[in-house]
Amino acid sequence: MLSGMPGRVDIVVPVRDAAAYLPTFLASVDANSLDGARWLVVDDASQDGTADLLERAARERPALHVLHNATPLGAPASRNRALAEVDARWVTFVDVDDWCAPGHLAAFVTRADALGADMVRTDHVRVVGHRRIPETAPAPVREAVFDATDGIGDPGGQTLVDYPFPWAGMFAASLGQRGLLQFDEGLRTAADRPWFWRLHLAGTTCAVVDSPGYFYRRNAGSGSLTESAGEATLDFLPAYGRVLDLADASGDDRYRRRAMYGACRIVAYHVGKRERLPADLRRRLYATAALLLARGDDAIFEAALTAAPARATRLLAGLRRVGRGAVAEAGR
Amino acid sequence: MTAVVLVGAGAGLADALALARRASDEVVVLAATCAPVVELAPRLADEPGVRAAVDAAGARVLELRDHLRGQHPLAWAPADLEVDAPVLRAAVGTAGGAVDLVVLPGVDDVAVPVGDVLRAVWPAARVVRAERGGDGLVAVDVPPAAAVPVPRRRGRLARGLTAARVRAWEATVVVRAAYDVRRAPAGAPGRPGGGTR
Repeated sequence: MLSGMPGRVDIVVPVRDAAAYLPTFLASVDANSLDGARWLVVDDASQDGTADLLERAARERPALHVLHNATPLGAPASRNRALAEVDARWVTFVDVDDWCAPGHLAAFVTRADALGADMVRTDHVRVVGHRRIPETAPAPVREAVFDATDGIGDPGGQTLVDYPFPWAGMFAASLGQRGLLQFDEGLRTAADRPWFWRLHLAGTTCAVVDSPGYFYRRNAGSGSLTESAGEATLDFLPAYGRVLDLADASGDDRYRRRAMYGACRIVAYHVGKRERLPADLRRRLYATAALLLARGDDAIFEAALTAAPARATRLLAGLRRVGRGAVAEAGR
Repeated sequence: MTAVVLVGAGAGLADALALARRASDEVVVLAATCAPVVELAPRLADEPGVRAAVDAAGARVLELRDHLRGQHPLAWAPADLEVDAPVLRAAVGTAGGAVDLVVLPGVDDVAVPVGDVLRAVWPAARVVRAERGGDGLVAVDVPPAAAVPVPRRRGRLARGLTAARVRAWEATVVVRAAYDVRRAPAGAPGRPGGGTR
């Protein structure tokens, strides 16, 4: 912190062309003032006046610090830039088009301080139009510290490792010194998937707590790259390639099965929403998914497929056959 | 007891209150702040103009969102009532179901869906709008919103056709994937050894 004292929490916020969302974002900052909190906002070379608006806002808010990228680097690199500045005990994330209920941050940090786990996760509220949909962080226990590998689980349903929301988590800044908070800058979307897997497999501890609420805006106008139907949408495929790498490196078949199940589920999800993709990306989705699903031995894939969405199992199995064939051909 | 629903900027409050007072000595105003980000918006119930009008009418005012478990007032629906209805009845103080009239402001259609949900909270209540016409201030009944029937395909033939089409589509996807995986040059995205992008 500027005073020379370590802060309590640093909040990382990547921003690009977000002028329309700044009034809500700043209201959220004002409703979550907290001693020892610092908002590290990285303007990713915005073209819509965001930079000026942020500078003006920062003059009235000592806790708001604005960094500027000269050229657009993307959300993962912007987060990494802010992470290099972190010197508080905790670090968390906020997306600029979302908002926090008054008191959310204070309650969240207080619970994190009390429990002292490496990662403290919480629930959130998905916002679709006016509708608020509560989403519960899936956890083996609440308000208690557990080994983060217990949050990986078996194939089927949602577990904590596949609750991929950095903004619904409070992370010990010491994880950054171990290189565990850096995002993969090669991934334009889904970078949070391998990010969480790496954290869960790194001998960390975890806890899940209640909080007043993080509101996650999920709609076409929110600027979500995952929903944009552009080329970046398909970055979930290399992201899950990294997840499979991490599970393989663990040497534990339980994690391999869960990772492959996650790959099956996300492929099924994107195939189900194929109509939003242009024809060339749709074909690239199928071919690349075939290679992703070809990984690992048959027993792992069968276990994953058993728990995968029933409507997609035949297609997933077909894609794996294609991928296995191509890999075998390349090996000849 | 009469409940007055107040929404948006609070327009039409004076007429709605006047109509409510004609019907009952006990009036409660349910203020529904309707900003998209309602969690960070100023509370309509705390607006000085609203407070003054409510005090002058001898009524009480409640902020509706305080009694909904996290839902936005404009997205409030009968599905939320299992939790919300008892809470709201207790807050209004009519556990015996004594609200017999719900008055909506005549100037703002946005109150109509809220009125429709209140119909389910107090089934015996009449829901009206306060409207000004040649006869002065009058209560105009608001009919319940009509349910929109959703046509559904039924029958074995339709299901069989759908299943056959899904199988045909899956086969097409797999054939295309096989073609594309082989066609791409080695080392290219989507090709073994070329990464998965």
